[in-house]
Amino acid sequence: MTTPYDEMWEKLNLDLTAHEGLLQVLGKFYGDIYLTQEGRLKGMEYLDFVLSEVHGLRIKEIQAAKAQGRKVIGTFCVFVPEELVLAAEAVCVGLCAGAEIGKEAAEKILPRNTCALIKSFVGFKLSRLCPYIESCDLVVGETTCDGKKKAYEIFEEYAPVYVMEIPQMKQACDRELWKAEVRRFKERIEAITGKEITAARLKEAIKLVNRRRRVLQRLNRLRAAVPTPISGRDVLLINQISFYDDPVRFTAKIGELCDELEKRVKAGEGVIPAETPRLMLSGCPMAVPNWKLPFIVESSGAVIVGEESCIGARNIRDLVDESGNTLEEMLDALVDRYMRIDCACFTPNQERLHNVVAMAQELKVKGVIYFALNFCQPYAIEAFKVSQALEAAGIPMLSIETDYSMEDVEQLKTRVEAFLEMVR
Amino acid sequence: MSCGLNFLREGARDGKSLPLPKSPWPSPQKLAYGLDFGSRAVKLVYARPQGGWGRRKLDSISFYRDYLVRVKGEVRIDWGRLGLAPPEALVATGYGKNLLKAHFPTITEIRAHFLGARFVTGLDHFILLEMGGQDTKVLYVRDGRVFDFLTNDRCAAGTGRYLENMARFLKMPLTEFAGCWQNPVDISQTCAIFGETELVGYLLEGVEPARIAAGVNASVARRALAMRRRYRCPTLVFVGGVAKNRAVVKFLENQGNFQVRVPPYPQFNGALGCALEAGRVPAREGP
Repeated sequence: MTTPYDEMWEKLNLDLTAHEGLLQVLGKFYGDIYLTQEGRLKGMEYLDFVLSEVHGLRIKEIQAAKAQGRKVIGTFCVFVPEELVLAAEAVCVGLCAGAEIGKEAAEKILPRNTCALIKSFVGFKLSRLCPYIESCDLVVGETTCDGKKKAYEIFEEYAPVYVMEIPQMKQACDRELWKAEVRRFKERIEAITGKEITAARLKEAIKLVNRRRRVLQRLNRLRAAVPTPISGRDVLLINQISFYDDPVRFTAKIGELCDELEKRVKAGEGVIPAETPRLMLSGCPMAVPNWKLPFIVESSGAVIVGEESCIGARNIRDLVDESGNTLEEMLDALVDRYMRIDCACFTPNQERLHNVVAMAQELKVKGVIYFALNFCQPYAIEAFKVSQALEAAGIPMLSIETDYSMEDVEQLKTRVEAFLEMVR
Repeated sequence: MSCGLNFLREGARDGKSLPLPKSPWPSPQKLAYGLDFGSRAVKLVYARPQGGWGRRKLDSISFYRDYLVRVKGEVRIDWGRLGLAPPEALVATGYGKNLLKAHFPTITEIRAHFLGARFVTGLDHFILLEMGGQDTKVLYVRDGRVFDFLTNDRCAAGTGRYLENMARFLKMPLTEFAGCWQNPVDISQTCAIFGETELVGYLLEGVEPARIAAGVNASVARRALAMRRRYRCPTLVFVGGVAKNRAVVKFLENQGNFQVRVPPYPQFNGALGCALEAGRVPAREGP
């Protein structure tokens, strides 16, 4: 089948046949998981459209930006200060790593017991399936875990990689380290874009990203209503798309969606009956198109009302202080904001335990489903501390370790259903 | 060699009523049936018109082939062929439960086993170990509720199917195999594939098959113990097909720090739980 984008994809050196297969699988998967839902909001049509054009229109926009001399910076982690990228008039895309398709290629160069997320981004590159990676002038990695850290050393042979060092503790010296890293990143972005990051530009970028965070915060406040007016799957999708859509347009569209939600909430209309058990997800990020667990949960008679994860609350909880005027003040504000991230890579990580419990209580959930990717040590090990903290607060937790494959769906379903029988 | 469970040998097909202990639960008021679609066997527990419970066990494949009929694309159970009156209420569980989802309520295996074990033991506080054809579950029951549970995920090592394979490999009837517990050799694998290699090694050394079988049984018990270790509780209720394996029971008992209880007809525990649930829930329109 030919599409209007074939020429563009060919120029990006994609494997056209395999890529067509990917889009077909993705389309079917999306249809089964998303389009079968009842009572969806009209505002979700935009998200459906963006997802249907994920490798089409958005890539075309990115190519157009490149033609105007703008650079494209790819990221894998919420630690990378997007504000600096945008201040240099570059395009920032959160690279997706939620598909299994490139696994075999990735396992040629990575150990099999590497987490699915790492295998996915390596696999996408090796099998030439991701137009985003192919569009990137720079791919920014970070040292959040050993798997990523060592994989970037290999990935460097295939893509232009830059690695930021993420501190592992939150002492004064760690803040110093992080500030030095933010400065080093700023210089690198300035070098690659040829644009100076001025105070005025950075101020605008900080406001822009904050606006996007605020609209997502508003979404989270609205969906917390009982009955919840939107499915957890839809909110996850919105969060996933926030990583690669144009931030101005996205913020406006989600604002409209929130207006619609507000009406629903005022009218007391839920997307599901009020007595549906409310659950929260906590743990590893669910990158596009990893919708497996949310789908299992929501097709087992529960609804997800919160995601304590990087593709969720962790990415939007904290804003950057907008009061700074000098470059130095703004860099400090950035450093402080990013140091508040409660990633499992930190030790100790008491903040996260506190945040998980507070979130579960605020959302009035019956239980928490803890999601760890297989071989993700930081999150898998932290599950124990999280379960203790939740138990002390009287909130049940189901711990699940899985990856992107579909082979354990039935077993997971049994466990999720049994958990629901327990908490109901 | 016996650990007192020999009377449990399959006498199940004649529909004798289950010798259930006295319990606060009332006898079924209606024809309530419970069906457990396991990977190796389909188990049915049914309330008999004259009172009490009956039970049937059928090989999964023959059940699917001989007792399920398709009417206008829908799957129904051929009750006439089973020689039973159609149920007034039926609840199903197990991997095949979705087949009948349109007609009958279903519950998870976790809930089914919890209900069955609680009924037959009358306990409110215990660890329930269920070992079936292809999975192992450990439930922690506290204050009469499922407090937590563990299941194996992808790998079915150390389950009933593994024991069957190893018995066949040693050319030993399963009942004989299940009685072997003395002088076990050390078997490190519970994988059905690699396990055979290990067994070949011992056979080549001239080790007698009974000791190898004992080693296999010990390895299965060890694996189950690893899952149970998470919870502290002095009572372990052991159900599922593997609970009929006297040697595995013995190895569990030898751990010493908890008491092992195997209820009568442990393989029917899930189906019993379903029948109890069916006795409770209002009947849905069924074929």
